[in-house]
Amino acid sequence: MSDDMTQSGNNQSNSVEPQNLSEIDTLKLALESSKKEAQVNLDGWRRANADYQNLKKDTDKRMETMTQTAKIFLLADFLDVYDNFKVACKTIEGKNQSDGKVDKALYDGIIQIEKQFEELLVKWNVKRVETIGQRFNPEMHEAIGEESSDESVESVAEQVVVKEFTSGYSLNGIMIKPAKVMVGPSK
Amino acid sequence: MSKILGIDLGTTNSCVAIIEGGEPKVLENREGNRTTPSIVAMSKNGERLVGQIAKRQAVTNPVNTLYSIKRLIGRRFTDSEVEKDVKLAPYKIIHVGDAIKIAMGGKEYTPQEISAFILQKLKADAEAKLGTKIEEAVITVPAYFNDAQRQATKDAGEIAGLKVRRIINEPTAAALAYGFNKKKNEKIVVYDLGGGTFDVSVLEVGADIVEVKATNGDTHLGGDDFDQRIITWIIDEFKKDQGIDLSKDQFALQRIKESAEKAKIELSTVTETEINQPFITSDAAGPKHLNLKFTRAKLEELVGDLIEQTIEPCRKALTDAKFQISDINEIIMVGGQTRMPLVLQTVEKFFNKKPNISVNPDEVVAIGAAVEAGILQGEVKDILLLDVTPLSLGIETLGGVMTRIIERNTTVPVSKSQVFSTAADGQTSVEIHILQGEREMADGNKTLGMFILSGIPSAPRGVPQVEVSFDIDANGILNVSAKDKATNKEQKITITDSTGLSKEEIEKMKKDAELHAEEDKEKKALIDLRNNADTLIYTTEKTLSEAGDKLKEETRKLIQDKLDALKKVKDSSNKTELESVLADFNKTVQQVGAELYQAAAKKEEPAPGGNEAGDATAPSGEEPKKAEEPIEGEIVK
Repeated sequence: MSDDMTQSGNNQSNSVEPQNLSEIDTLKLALESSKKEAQVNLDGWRRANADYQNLKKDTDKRMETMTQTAKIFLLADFLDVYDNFKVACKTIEGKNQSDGKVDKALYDGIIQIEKQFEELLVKWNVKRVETIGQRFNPEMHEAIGEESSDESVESVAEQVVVKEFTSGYSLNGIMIKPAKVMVGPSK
Repeated sequence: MSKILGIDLGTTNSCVAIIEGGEPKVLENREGNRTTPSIVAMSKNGERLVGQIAKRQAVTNPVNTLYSIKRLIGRRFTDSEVEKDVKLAPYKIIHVGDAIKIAMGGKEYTPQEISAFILQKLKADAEAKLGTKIEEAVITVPAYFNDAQRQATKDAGEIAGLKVRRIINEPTAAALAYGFNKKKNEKIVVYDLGGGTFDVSVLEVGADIVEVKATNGDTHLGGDDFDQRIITWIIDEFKKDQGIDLSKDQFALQRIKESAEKAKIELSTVTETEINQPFITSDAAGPKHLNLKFTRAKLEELVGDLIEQTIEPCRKALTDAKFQISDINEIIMVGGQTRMPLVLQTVEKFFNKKPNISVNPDEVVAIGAAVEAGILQGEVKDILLLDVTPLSLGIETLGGVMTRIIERNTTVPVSKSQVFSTAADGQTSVEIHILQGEREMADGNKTLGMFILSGIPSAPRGVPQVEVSFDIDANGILNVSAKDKATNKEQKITITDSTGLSKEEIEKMKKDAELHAEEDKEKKALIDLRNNADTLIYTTEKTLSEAGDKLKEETRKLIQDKLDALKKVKDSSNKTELESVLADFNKTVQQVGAELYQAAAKKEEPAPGGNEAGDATAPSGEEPKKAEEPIEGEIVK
């Protein structure tokens, strides 16, 4: 801010400071101060512009992540329902094989729908997680229960998946939901 | 300037927030979730796991999966709380002298070290999200934490590589999140019903200080207990109905747990829901399904006593603080469970005041920690504080509609332009009627000013390009200009009082707009339809006159008939009738287009008309009244 330098006539102090500043000196001081202020403002403006550009870049990146995340949350909900549907399919298949009393048309139709779902997963690049026989990995498996073993719990070196309750899925390497599994000692 | 992280290190879940652009923002963790389970485990494969991942293997590894460590941090082995946990916890709590250690994966750790593992993950995930290193944090603790517990929490931060700038009380953080720290001499109650604990605190705010006057609660009462009641009920109902005890089936039990929590949450917004789990189990007879109707009334019956249990601690806290119920100015809700309508009602009934829940109760403490972090950082400099324009600004366009150019809450200074055109053939001037407000119709808004730009070269409607620019400077002064791009002729007007409305008037206008939103939308939709019809009539007539001879006689007659029908219906207020006539007309018009193109293919003549014949959707109804406005053009920044 420019200082308020007074002309000699208005100087109210009794100090030994020079009381006669010529007009030019006053203007020189005012100019210096204004230059400094202008520099501060220019810097501030540059910074604000830079912040803005960085925000744009940041926003673009976040949009990408958000889109991916939104897809994953949506898929997780649908896959929960699909898991139940698969149990229904398995049940029908089992019944069909055991007593062959399932209505053929109904059976065929339901199996066809299952196929449609599987095709969708391929289309969306959704991959199923490997379970049975694999080393238990909490990044992609959720343990629902543990099979007891003959050895004491502490000495079991490795746990593997022995049963899959529901499947786990990933999208582009990111987990949508983990597989729900039964864990047991590796044989 | 590096950022300071605000951390809510909770018993069951933790949450992290930071100040960004002057506003607190919750940061998602690596898994994409806004909260992280406060769980640490050593897997059987020797891997250290934190958060959701640790939760996933808990069932197979209970001895090495540590949770609720907050109950132990800073305590001595002889504390009664610790004795309780030693009995309940599946993991081993041991004492080394008077201090506590916990066994995990064959080693022993202090509670600080365990909490540090959690903080480490929170720190790493935040750094990954922000793309920058975090070195400092503000961490929250319960108001009843003593010095030893606070110091231990600080130590946990240091072990995790964080300089803990401040430890603040959770209820204080909640008050900060609401900005209540700015109030003078107010008494605030914070009601915190989380997953596993209930805390009530009485605060007094004044002169930049937030003082905790009293605390009370129940360290083993929370949302998890509510879930357990529902789970028990579901199992009992199924047993009654199907004769099978689902509690013995691990997978079924897990599905029931998830359904119970989901149903509980749904019943906060609807009064009835269904617990639907097909193929929950099977027996010799075949598959069995769980399908239960679950009402809010039933839920309230199941958990009502738990909610009642929270009132006595509230009463005790008030007594300890030496306040009456009537002294309390504000109540703040913390913790997801407080979303339940019966909880809100019970609290409101007791305090005779509506509780505050507008800030996400799961995140409010983390947000408050971030606010404190912001204060320590000194984020905002006064000179650079920017204003926003409180109401939308725009001009009147065809049909008496307001077309917005600057939306409300836009930060100023700002400049925005749009290109408009004329509504009638040979129109040589446009009237710019400047409006402020949120209503769809121009007459529902405030007129700020008006001016005319004339001397526009005579041309068919829709051809001239008039650029209308709105510029608001840092002082709130609005400059509006209209420039004809062909001649560069320009008119402008300066409005000094664009924010001349008082706060009350602004609020009233916003409320009015909300009240009339449906009605306005209907009106505008009708006007848009009429404008579409107008344009279509105009362009079709033009096409007929210019290229009609290229059409078959039957087609010409058909078009003319449809045109007449449309003209008749155009000014009616019957939206559905207008819509169907318009749709029908469009279809016919496309026939014309097809025919013309066929003819053109033979003769190589371009299709005529301002709008291509066969354009199914006319330009959006932004044509002005008689002597003005433009059709919507590109928005020029």
